Amino acid sequence: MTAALSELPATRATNISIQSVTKRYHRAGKTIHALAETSLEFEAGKFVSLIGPSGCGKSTLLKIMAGLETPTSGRVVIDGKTLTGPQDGVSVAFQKPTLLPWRSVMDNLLLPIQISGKRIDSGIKDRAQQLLKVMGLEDFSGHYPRELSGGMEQRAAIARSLISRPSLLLMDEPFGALDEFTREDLNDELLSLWAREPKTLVFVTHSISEAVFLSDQIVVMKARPGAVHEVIDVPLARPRHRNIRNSQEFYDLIRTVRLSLEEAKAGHDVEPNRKAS
Amino acid sequence: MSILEKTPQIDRPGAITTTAADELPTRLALTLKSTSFRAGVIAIVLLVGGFILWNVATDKEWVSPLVVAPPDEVGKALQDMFATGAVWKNLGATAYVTLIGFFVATAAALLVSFVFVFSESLQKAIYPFLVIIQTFPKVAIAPLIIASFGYGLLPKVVLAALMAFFPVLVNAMVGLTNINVDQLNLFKSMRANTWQVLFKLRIPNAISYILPALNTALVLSLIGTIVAEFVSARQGLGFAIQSATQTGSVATTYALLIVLGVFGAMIWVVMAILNRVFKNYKQ
Repeated sequence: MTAALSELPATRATNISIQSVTKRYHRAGKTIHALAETSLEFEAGKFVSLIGPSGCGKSTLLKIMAGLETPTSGRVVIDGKTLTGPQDGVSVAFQKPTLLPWRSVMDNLLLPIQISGKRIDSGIKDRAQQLLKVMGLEDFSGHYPRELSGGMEQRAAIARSLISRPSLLLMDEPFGALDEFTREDLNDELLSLWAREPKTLVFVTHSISEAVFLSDQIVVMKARPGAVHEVIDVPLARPRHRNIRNSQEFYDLIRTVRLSLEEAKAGHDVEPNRKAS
Repeated sequence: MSILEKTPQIDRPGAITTTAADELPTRLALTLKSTSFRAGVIAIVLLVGGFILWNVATDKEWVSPLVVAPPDEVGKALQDMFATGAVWKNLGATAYVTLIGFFVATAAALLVSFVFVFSESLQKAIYPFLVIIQTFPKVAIAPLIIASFGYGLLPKVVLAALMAFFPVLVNAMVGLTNINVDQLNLFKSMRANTWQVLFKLRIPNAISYILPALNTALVLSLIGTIVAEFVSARQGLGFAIQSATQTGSVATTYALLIVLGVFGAMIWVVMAILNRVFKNYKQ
């Protein structure tokens, strides 16, 4: 299925360092502490998931990494450069597909290329067609978003986020609105794309099994204020086949993450000052 | 991936020939039950009923012939109008002013809305004045406009454009600024510049807001034109209605109103076609 993409030149991956970042919002005279001091290192080429309850600041952290929000203090360093705004080579996939309804699927895919001012040549069109093929959308390039199902729209959005070969892909709960079966299909497709074109991938999710299946590392976060509770390594071998979901190792990891999440919640509710272990 | 399956069309008349004979009554029953069929029947009943009522009311002189002209006389007046070609001269003059007023208003409104998008302080400074102009009854200032701009084409176009300007401006402003946060973030994350956001996001987004306003604007432009023709004109439907009323030819007035109605319906059809063409722009 992914054979078509193997001809493409390999992309590079990016190192990200989050250094003492905090975020506070001021709304209607109140200060909302979205993110307490957070430091994290994302190694180049790794797949890292951020997981945690609502209000744990995982989406805020992702927006800061995308350059869409500025941290109240601290800084984000990408490949040695301090982030000042949205960067080249960084792609964002949102919770909603966010396709433009007046553009066909193909024209939605080509939008990032047009915005970057590059010429749309046959090479780019071929790449778009290949991405659509991997996503099972090769027959829909001329269709409009309103003619697609939710899963198909999200597939097109992911293809769009990959068109310009980003070295860092930031995904904010991209499969949150999809049913379990579609979600598992898209998990497989995302992993095979990621294996073909190495890149650092930061993935926000609510689903423990999705995080375990996809990631090299899972960052467990806690809420009010948002903070990192624990970073869990996922030593499952790659490439990962969907069968590993039934393995004992997979179950054990799910339990580890679940316990960590419960601990993060209890730490907040019962002992606010308890240090994460 | 069978999600794209078309919804089955139930009351397609062509399908009857291809279905088995025993299914035919069911299909016919479905057709008779369908909303569009029922709406069509009701519309025809209303039209025929209204016509009969009109005939009887004038025949039995329930209403004065000075107020309501009998259908046959209206028909004759229509016939005369087309025979002499007077209708084309008047309709042409009215359509000409209406369209120019409409295009001037639309162009001006779009231009102002772009300026407002780029400068919020200009918007805040100028918008209150526009609201005052809008709330002012423009029909009341028609004689003043005629007096200031002379008796030619200009005063009529000014009045028509004044009527049509505001709805386009308001909807264009909303369409250009009411942008989905995610879509704006997407453009920011791609490092799009102001012009790219304008041409690739704001303007396409505004189209579905502007289209219904164009419909309103065209109708208002027509009203402005007619009023201007009432006050001062030597041709046009407004002028013709005015002179027919003054000379007491009620049938001619009615015939002119019918022409005006058909013209209005044509505007509606054109706008419906435009809406279809731009159907993908709905968010």
